[in-house]
Amino acid sequence: MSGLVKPLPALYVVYVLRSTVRPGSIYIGSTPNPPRRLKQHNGEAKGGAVRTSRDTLRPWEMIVLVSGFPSSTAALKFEWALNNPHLTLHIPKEERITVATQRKRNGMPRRKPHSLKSVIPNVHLLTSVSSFSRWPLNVHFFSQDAHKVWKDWSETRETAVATSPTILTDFGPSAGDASTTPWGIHALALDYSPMKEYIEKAHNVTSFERQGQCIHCSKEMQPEQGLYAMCPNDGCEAMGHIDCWSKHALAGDEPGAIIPTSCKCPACSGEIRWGDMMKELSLRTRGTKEVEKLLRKKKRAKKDS
Amino acid sequence: MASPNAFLLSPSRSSNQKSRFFPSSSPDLPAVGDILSPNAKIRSLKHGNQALVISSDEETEIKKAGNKEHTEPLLVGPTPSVSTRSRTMEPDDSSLLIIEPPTTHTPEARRHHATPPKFRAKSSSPVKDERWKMFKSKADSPKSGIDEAIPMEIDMVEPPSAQQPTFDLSSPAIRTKSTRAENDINEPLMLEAATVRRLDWTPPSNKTAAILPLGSPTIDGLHSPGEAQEASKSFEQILEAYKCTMDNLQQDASMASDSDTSILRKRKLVELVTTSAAPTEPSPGVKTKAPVKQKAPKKKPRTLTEIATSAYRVPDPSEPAPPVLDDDATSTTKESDAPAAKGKSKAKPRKRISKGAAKQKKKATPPPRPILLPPTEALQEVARQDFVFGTSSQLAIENSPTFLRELHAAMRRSNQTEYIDLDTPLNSDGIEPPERKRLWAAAARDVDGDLFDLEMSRIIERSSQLLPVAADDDPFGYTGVDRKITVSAVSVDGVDTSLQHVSLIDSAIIPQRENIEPIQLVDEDSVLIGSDISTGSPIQRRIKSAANSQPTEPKDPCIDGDPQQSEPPVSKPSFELFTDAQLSKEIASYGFKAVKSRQAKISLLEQCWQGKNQLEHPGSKRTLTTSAAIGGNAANNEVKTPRGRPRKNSASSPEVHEPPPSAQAPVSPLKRGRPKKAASTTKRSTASTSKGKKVSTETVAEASTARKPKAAAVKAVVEIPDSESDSDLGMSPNPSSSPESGFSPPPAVDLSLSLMDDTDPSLVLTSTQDRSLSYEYITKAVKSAPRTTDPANPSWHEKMLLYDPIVLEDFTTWLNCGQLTRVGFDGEVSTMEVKQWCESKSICCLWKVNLRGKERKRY
Repeated sequence: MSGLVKPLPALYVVYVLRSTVRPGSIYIGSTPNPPRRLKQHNGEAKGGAVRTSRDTLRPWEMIVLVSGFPSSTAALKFEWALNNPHLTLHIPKEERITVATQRKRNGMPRRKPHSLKSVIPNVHLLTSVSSFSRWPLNVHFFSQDAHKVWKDWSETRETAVATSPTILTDFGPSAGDASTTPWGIHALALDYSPMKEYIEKAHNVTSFERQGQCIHCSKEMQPEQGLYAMCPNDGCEAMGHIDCWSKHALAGDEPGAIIPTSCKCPACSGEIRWGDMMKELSLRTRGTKEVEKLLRKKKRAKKDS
Repeated sequence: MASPNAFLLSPSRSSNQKSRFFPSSSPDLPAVGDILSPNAKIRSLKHGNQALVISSDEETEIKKAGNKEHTEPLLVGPTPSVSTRSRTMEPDDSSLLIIEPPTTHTPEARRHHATPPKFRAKSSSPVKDERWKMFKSKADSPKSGIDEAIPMEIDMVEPPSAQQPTFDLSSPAIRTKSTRAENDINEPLMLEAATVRRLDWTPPSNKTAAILPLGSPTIDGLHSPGEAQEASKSFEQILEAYKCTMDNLQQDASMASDSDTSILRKRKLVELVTTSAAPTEPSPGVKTKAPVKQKAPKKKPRTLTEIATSAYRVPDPSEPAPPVLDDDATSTTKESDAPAAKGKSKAKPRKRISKGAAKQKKKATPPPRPILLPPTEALQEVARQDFVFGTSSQLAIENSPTFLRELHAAMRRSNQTEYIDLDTPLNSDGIEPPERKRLWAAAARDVDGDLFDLEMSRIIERSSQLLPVAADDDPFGYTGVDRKITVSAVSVDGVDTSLQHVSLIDSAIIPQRENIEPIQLVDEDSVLIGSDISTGSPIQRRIKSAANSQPTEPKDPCIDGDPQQSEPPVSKPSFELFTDAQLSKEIASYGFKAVKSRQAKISLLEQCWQGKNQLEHPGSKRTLTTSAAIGGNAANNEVKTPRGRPRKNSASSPEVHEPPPSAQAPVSPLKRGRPKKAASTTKRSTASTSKGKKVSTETVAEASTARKPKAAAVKAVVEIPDSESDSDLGMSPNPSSSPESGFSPPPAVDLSLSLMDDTDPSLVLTSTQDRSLSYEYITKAVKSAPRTTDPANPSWHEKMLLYDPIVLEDFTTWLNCGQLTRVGFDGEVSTMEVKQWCESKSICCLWKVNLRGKERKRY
């Protein structure tokens, strides 16, 4: 497995697709590249799902998007669970919202067709179940009504989970606004560029072997001899063993937890999302190519300027 | 000109026609006057004549076409269809119809009349036209009709002369031609009629037959224009073709008379397949039978079961199909002996009493009423019989079965030494030296279709008596489990081998058996293998009786009176009364590892005890070939009801509990092949064989498959084998690769697991305390593991922190390889537990194999 590892993907999303023509038609999929995938669904590019190939339903729009999956496997798991909320074991029995009442011919329980009213609660539920709750997920809403359903639903759920996903909304420019700035899925960064500075910072530190001591355990961090995570906050070069970080991050968490969700940097006391830190770390240790590409581009940009 | 020739030939031709067709066509021909009369009249006539299908057709044809010969083939075919055509034509225009046929047929007619080469040249093109026109849509036909104005003229000039000598038909034809000439004027107007034409050609089988012969001669005629005689000959051939169709016609008529014919046909087919006895039966014979079967259930046999059982519904004395063979998929060889088996299966009880000539018995015994036995009984019935195997010549000539038996005995004796040799290497490959006895043993095939070693199974049965002892010796503690598992997996084999035994061993007389016994191998290896394969049906039966019918237990030995059986049946100790220490000691004595829960211990011990008890008397059962004891058992079996359907996992369980390498080395045929397939087959076989067996396999399955989700009660038991399998992994030198070391197919269990991975809710059911306990330790083990010094090879904890997908098998292996012990957990965890642990921690986990059963390439 060690040879097969890849860095955390820059973007991997599970999306909820809705027909603009018939809002009752909903499709759930996953992709690392939402704009490309949307084109496929709309028939502008090859490879759309058959389910979305009917002309009368096109064009489709992505109304909800769950991003931040740490791997394609994770995204696929989530996608399957969201597509089969009546079956998935990730949802405990007592919390299950969608219950199958019929059975298919092959004996499997039949799920009722998706609807906004069923999908959104299930997204809410799945992002809070133990299997997924500690993943660094974000939920994007690109449609007002979907967001409204979400809000209504989460209000009814008094027990808001501690580790709820980050909610992002982008409903696009108002009707009168004719600005051409991309919004929605087109505004999503498909590569690691948003982390460029962070990556560069950590890259520089490690390349010059300035790791120094672990900020947590104060032990010397031998270069190339361990996994050392760095604070992503601007200007903070606090570095430490990954497990030291986790111990620190889990300090106030429930006992027995393995994966932290967020923590405060002991040096700059800035908030740190565990997923960001891991993304950078994995990129640094496993994605030298990506790092090079990113940094090279930056150099060129500098030259240009 | 060739006209003289034509004259000469035509009469004969016409006579031919007459002889062949007139029975159907000529008598009904309308009077000449009718033909001459205007179309309207004719039509009315037709209406009247519709009952006489053929005649009406003839009329229309004659009117339409000058040449009867061509139209006739159409007519000869299925009369009803033709009639419908004529009817349908009516609404359309007669003129059109009249025009068309000439276009299609005139050229051929000319040819048949031995027209001179001149005309041939001309006609050739029309012929071609006609050929494709036959199959063409109506739209084209009008055109062609126009095109054929020329051939028509030719007809007018010549053919009349040629046709005059012909009798009834020719004269009307001439007339029609004249009328046709008139109609030609109308022709371009009416275009649609051709559709009707089309109908003509579509329906019956006869037509194709008729057309094809026609085609070849026409082509011949085209190519060799000069020879009129040849042409005539070809025509005769055509007529011959018609002759056949006549027969068909009659058949059709007869068929039509029966309302249920189609059903009957189907039934006949089915029966023909099943009864190998009468393969060469002529069709008339079948026909005669048909009426008898008419009484058969009017329902069509639609399901496979129905079809299979349909043979038994009607007591048909002539061909009683052997009930046994239906379900027994494996006994192909037996099927070849179907007649013998048939005869004997019914006559079996008498067999012992009267050992007349085998052949005579077959014939003489009045076929008893075919009873559809349940598979269990049927198999037992078969098992109780003495089969005399031999070539047909042997069976026929050496008519004394005793002689054959002695022969077998002699062969057996002579082979004795070889057996010993064979026993030691224990190659179960099909490659093994093909000795003569192999032929006899060929009937025994295991689930995979591999040859099943007769010797092997016999050794097993013999050695099974030693097993209790052997189990103690077994260093790996697998014998108990394996033995049971294999029983489940090979239940079919059991059946087969039992048949084999009955047939071969029983023929060898009991004293001889005693001869064999001493051969028993105390070899550790052989014993192990034996335990792997122990599958004699006697054992199976034993299991049944032991498992559910305690009272019968004591009975058996009395009936047996077998000297070998020294131990009296032990009454089952009540394990519930045992202390924990005693229980664990007992379990240890069976070679199992320590089990946590008391309930699990008890149930395990009960199973062990049952297994042991069953294995203590296998030999005795075998010797009872046709005694009442087995019948009693059979009765017992029937009383039992299966606790449920066989589990999918049960079949695959052998894979999980792979014996340690030492025991594995001599691979039994069972272990080969794709696990999944084997699973399915076993499932089927167990289902088909016997309920009692099902029960036994089920218990085994429950004991063996840890991953089986359900059965909270069994849950604790379930853990045992799993931990074993895990320990297996631990023991193997290369733990990480153990599940799919090299090219071995991924274990079926994992596959099934990954399939039900997300979906089976019952997986959630685990006792929470156990879970939390093990979870704590897993967490502890993970967190306390040293951090890596190689960034490219992070520790499990670091992987989790990095959100890496965790491969459950690997992780479980790691945990069970001392890590849990390190943190003070005395036990092992299953992959399922680990999976649940991962999911409770939001750790992305996956199985090593993907849903297709292949190892993942990407993560």
